[in-house]
Amino acid sequence: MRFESAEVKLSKKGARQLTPFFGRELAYDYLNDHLDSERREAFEKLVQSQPEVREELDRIRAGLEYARSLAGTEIGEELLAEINEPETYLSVLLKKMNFDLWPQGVKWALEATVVLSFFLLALIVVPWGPILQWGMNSANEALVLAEISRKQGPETARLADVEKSERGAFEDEGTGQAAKPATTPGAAPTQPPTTVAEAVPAAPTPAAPPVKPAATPTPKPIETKAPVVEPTEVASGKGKKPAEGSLYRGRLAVTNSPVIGPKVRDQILALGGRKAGEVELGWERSAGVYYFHFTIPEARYDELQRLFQESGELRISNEKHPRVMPDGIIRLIVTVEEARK
Amino acid sequence: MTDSSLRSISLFFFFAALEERLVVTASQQAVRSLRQGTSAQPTAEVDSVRLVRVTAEIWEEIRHQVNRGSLHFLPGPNWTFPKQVSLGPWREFHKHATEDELPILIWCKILGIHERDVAQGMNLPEGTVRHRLGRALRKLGGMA
Repeated sequence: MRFESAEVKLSKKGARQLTPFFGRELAYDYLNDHLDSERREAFEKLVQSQPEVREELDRIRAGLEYARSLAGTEIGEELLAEINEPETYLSVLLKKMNFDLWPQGVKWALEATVVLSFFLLALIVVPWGPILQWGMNSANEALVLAEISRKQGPETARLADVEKSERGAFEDEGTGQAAKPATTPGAAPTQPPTTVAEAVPAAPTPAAPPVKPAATPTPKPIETKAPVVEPTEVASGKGKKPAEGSLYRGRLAVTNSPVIGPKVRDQILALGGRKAGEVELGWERSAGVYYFHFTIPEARYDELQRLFQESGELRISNEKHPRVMPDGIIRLIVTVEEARK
Repeated sequence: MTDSSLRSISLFFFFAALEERLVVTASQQAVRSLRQGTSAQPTAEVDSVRLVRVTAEIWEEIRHQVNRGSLHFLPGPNWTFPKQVSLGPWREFHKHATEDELPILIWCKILGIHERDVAQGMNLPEGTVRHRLGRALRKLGGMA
């Protein structure tokens, strides 16, 4: 408020005298030029006469100067950007909850609970088993530098067949060596195939896709069906689970085994039996003990059993064996030996 | 909202609170509050009277959280002070200033808002503002 137009006389002598108290209150207005001329003059006189008023004026000046210097404070762009960023749901939620006003202990407990929950969730959800397994396996994993594909030529195919045949050969007991591939009924005696599938070469393999006829009029391929036996899972080796074979193992106790032994051999051959393994049928394994390792059609088994029982006391049992015989064929190992008296 | 307005808001809360965390939250609150009223031109300069009113309201809400005289901010790129200026006198003033002296001094002498606008924003007579300002400057000058 300005008093320039006012002509109010505040003293008898026409002078507007100021007290130190009033002078201190007017100091800021004096510095900001808010006083009328009379007040200004009065204040200046007061300042000259009153040192405490002068000190007051100096303090205000110093305060003004210091405040102006603080006005030069600069704020970083990042902080301004942070302040200017739009409101998020979390910030709104925290604001509504007055999270800042919560007691410190409650805040810490809440934060600890949240962290612990995440930790437990990670412990439960993460599949640690495969991860640990992977870590242990990766340490022992061999490094593959290069892979070479071996093209199967005719020679390697033949070797593979031989290897396959030898792997499937019967093994004689007591000789300590593997025999040649076993024979199957109806197969050639010199080089018998090991499986029924190999015994029927004309049959198309089930896995082979049908050949699409060409556009040119060529003769249509004749589809032939396997006439005798379907390839077994054992022969093809593509079963869902490995098949399980069996072996008949028996002991025929006779009196006078050197005579009965050849007779038994003749009976086996007469029933269509064929030797399996390498040693001859009726091989004398030890003194008075004759070894018969042979295959026979399953349909003749009862008859064979009856004949054996006529010759002596027969004990025979069927046991599991990894070697799987073709359907209708059984394999037996029977020893003919002298009965104990 | 212009950078100048943002700067004014941030500086007000910085010198009023001297705590970085509070500066950020209070400034964000003030910015949102000012934005709600300026739907026509979001980049327009904020009216000084409104700025005083909004910052005064928020200061009223947060002032009890402020530990007077304590300085809680990390020196770094966020705040750059003029050379050869110490915050010591301000901390002393911050500790001893009354509730009516502190914000008025910041508005008028640091942010440079006219006393008339401050008076209007605070619903006070202009003379009252000047009186408080003079008192505050005397106090600050005694510490500088």
